[in-house]
Amino acid sequence: MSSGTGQVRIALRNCGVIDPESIKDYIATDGYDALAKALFDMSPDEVVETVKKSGLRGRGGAGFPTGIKWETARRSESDIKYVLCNADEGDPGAFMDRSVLEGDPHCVLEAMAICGYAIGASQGIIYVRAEYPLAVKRLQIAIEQATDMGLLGDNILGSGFSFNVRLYFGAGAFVCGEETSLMNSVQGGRGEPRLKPPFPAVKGLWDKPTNINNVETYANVAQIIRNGWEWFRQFGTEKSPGTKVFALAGKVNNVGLVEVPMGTPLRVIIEDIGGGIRNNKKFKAAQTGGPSGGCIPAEHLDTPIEYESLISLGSMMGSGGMIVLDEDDCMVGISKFYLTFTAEESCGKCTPCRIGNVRLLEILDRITEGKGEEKDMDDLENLGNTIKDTALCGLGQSSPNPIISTLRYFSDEYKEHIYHKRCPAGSCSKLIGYKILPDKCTGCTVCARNCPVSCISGERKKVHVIDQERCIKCGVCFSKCRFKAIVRG
Amino acid sequence: MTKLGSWDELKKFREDNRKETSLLTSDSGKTVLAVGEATCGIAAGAKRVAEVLRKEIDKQGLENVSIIATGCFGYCYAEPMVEVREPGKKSVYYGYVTEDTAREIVSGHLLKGKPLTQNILNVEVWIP
Repeated sequence: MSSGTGQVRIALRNCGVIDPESIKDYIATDGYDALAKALFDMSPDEVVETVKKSGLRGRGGAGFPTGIKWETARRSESDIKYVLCNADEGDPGAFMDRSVLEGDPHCVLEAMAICGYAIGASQGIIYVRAEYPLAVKRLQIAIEQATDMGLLGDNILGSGFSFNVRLYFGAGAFVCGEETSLMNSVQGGRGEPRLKPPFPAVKGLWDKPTNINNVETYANVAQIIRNGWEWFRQFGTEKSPGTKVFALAGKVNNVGLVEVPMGTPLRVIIEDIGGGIRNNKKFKAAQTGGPSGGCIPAEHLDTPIEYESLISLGSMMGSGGMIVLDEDDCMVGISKFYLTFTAEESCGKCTPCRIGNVRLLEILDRITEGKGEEKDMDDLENLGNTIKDTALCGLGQSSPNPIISTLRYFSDEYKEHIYHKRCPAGSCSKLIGYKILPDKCTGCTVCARNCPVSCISGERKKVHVIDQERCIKCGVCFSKCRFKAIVRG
Repeated sequence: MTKLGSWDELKKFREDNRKETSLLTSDSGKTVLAVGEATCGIAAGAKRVAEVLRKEIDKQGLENVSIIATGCFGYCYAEPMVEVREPGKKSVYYGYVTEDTAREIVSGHLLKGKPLTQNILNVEVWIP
């Protein structure tokens, strides 16, 4: 039954299989049967109980039990409640939610309606990035079709239950993936977080109880209701049941989306499904969890992936971005990349995140420019941990993770930069230079002809020379030379 | 579109339309070419591949073949992707499909009934 590649598709079961713009296709794959089953065969409490027993946890990052959220929202008394879908996918390199929305939009609508029935809400809102025009278009088509057919709207299938879904477009702020910021944004306010508690399930949109889950979380719900919680628990691990979708990117041969049971070792994803590292290079680390996550080195490749194991490795599940790094990637540079991102995306409301991340970035800048000092590593760690402990929301509380995890596993690389002003991966441009070895240069002129700034001179069949003053260290000559006459150092 | 007033009507609608959908059912008798048209596929040229397939099918007068656009099948590295679904047969997945490959799929696979020897992806996913 289970395939050799280890992929098991629950959330992605229809992606690439059905025509996402055809509700007939979705219905043919038993679509909207879970909603009907909930409406006619189950009480709202039974729906909540089923989701709880399934052990489904938030696929957006933190892994909070979905059933507990639903139960809290159900118990919160209010005339109006909301079902929110977080489709503000923002991690660099992550595209799971986009694929689900583009490939199977109805499964999210169906799950939201089931949630509405369970918690007692009749309004659903999908907060989707405006940068995902195709996902938006397919969602709009799906909402229209489902409403036309009486699968959304008033008195769904004659059950007496009514549920409407509308879209709200995000303007691209990373912090709006944080639930309280997202709600502020929906209400027309600044995308800024607030303290929790009160949790959204108690006091959310317009102060009304609101259940908020991520796209992939909802994509599992209809299958759980249709097949039962026991069915769902046959996949994955005791603490993390089900599957997880990863967006595999970086230096791996088979870039794409994979869905594997929780507990699958990282090695299976990278080597078996991902087809190994490109160009026969050496694996260095897997970055999971985006700007909130960390880097997992080769010695932990056999760790089964689940929420807890990733946290103990200093990374996190995050939304499922997985960027594979090879020997040419500088770990200090990777930290700098993510810190640049979070420092820019910090909303500025709390001081630790607004100022702390910029200070961290300044230190990393110095190190990669060869101006690192002895105390820098301690400073990074202390400041990083202080930001984690004191920032207001998930963005700041996790933004130092890329630094802390690389300090843990790749401290030698930091030391090389700081003490020897060298970048072992040959990636930090301020720390590298290219030189032509006179005894190997044949004077073929290939380097000179390919140099984008024309800083290599020399006559045909004579040794060439790089003008170090004008060299921009792009490495083109290094990769073009067929005689290994150019060295980096 | 029909408004469904009960669970039974939903079930009936499903049965009535099963043959019309793009999903392969043994009794549909129809061949479906599924082209991955999510953002990844479109960026790699899926729209043009679909256009060529459509033209070739018209040219050859193949009436029992339909082309549909699906979402992302996850094999982003091999886009554009075309899946050939023939009744009663295991799907064949083609990756890295160019306009030329698209023509060959129609002239070779569909007309001569022989899957191409190149561009075939070994797809194994389990949908429980």
